[in-house]
Amino acid sequence: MSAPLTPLLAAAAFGLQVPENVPLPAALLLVERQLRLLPHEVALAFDEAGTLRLFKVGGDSEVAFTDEELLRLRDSLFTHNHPSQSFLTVRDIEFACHHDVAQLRAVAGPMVHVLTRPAAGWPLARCRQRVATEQARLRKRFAHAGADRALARRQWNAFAHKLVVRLSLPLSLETL
Amino acid sequence: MKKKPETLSDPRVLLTEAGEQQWLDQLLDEAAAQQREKEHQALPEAARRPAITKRPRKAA
Repeated sequence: MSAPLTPLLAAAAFGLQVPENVPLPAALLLVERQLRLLPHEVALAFDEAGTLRLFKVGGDSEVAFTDEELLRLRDSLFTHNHPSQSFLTVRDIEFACHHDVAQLRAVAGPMVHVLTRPAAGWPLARCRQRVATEQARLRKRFAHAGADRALARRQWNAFAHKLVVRLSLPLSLETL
Repeated sequence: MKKKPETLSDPRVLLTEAGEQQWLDQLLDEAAAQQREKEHQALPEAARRPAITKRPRKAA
């Protein structure tokens, strides 16, 4: 049986160029410039030295990770793309908190939304609590027949912005 | 069969943009179904029974 591909080889097989032995900012820039052109979601995690730890190609609705892969996310710089060029999703924020990444980055066209781990660590419990409260609110408000689903989607997407602010998470924007 | 809505707290999965919208739709579908069931249970017993329709008479 052949050994599983390393993240670097898997990325190369996919057609993504990931530079080796270059400083992390340069590696991220090169990779994220390729991610912005992809029609579906792809996720990569780098360590602080710029070494690729993980490469995953997303399906239609999710990017699934094994337990072993999830362990590799801790303290990593996790980047992925949003083909529709949208802001961070609620799930992105919860994912960053849960896996204790150093940074979660979402490539949205020529911009990258960057969420950085606060000095005091990710507020996972508060994040979960706020997400659960918002879910309950939407369920209550939009449960009736004929509810405006488009409005519900807009409110959920807007909640991602509110969540960042309410949790006082360090957010910045970078240009590719 | 329709997939049960995933909870956003499933740590092994990062939902894509489309996946998160699907998840939200399913969450609201489930909430709407529960609401309908609640309203149905609140009706008096007689109103909950299915309406009895008469069979058409056979032609003589």
